[in-house]
Amino acid sequence: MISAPPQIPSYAQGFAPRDGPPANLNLWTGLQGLWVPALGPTGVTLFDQSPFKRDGTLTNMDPATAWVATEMAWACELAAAGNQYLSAPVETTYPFTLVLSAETSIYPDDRALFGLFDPGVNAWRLFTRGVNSFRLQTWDDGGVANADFACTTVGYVQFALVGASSTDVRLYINTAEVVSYAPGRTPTVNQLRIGYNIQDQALECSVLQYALYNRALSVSEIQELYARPYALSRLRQRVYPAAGAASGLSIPMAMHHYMQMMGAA
Amino acid sequence: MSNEVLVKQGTSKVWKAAGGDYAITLASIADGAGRQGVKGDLGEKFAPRYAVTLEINLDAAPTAGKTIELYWAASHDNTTFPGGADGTDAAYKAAEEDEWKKQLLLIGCLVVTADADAVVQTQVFVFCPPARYGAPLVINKTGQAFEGDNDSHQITFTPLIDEVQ
Repeated sequence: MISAPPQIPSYAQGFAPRDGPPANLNLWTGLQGLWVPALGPTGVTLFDQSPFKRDGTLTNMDPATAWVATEMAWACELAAAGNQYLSAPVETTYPFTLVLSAETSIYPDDRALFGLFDPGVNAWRLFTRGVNSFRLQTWDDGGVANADFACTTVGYVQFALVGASSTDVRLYINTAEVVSYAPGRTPTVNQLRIGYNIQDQALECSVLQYALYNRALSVSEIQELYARPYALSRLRQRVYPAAGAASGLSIPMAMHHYMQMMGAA
Repeated sequence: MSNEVLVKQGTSKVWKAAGGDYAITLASIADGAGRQGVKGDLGEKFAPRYAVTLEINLDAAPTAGKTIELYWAASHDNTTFPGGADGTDAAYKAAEEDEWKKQLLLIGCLVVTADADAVVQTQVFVFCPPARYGAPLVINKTGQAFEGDNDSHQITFTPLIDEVQ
């Protein structure tokens, strides 16, 4: 098999169009929004790559400095000043899953990772309330339920909040479950905000990708997203089965496979 | 036995106000406004990938990091187009650009520097058109108008053809 070197999808390298199939169809199931700063700079708009096209906005962010090239890919960098956050319109209640991939190096006190909000009190939100000390909060008109935990995992980190029901809310960091609790609260929300928590500043981090589902992802799916963070997109890469002896494929067959890979057949 | 697959460039197709293969008049496009180009034919047998080059200069220096959005309205029959495009060189859905563009294919965003008309802002993308026919559309999100003449504005589609050695 002759194949191109591994590359991540990007506007510069080419990737499947927004309505095209992703690399992993199972992980596409139930997807309600997919925002991928890693694809490359797009000004103050963060395009939703899912069919719902819930385009997001870089809020209180300077597009000249917010887009940064990290060791992984392009990213949107949130600073802990100026009330910066990434917003997108969504409609969510149970079940749901929010998966956020970012590069971080520090967890100071009073920083916001993300929140799902409505204009009132309804919310799921994750924030720090001490150095390396986190609080996951589920809040509806009837009250608030908290789950606290500690985390020192830095570098490339995947946060996955899985809300199966009001009695089963879990948070995974990378592939490890760090929270499992029954908040007994049922928020309904219409805004997703990365780096926003009403009163706190954003956690300093470089956001690579985040996705919202209308179902509870399984542990194996969370593990797969961590192992292959770009499984939701697809690079337009060339993959040629070797013509002749190795594969037994003729050049026309190899080209047929190639066209299938390209999605252009 | 074949052991290399190389890429060669085909003959480019150019959209510009005059002198190109197809027309698109991008002079003086205001901030927030869009423009669609004349529908083009990539050929009965078109390449699976194209290098798409967008070149624009701006009347006044914009804020660095703002963008010019480049879209493609693909058509299988040269008659039916998505996103309200009609295959002519014309203004695009005034005041409704952001609503209609969601039916189009995003090729990419030219990320501008803080330079005025003396600098032609250029960015190259790789794009895989899904059909033979189509038209490019440009939406200005830079905060400044495009320069008032058409000397520099153009969109170039260059076929990237894989060749088995």
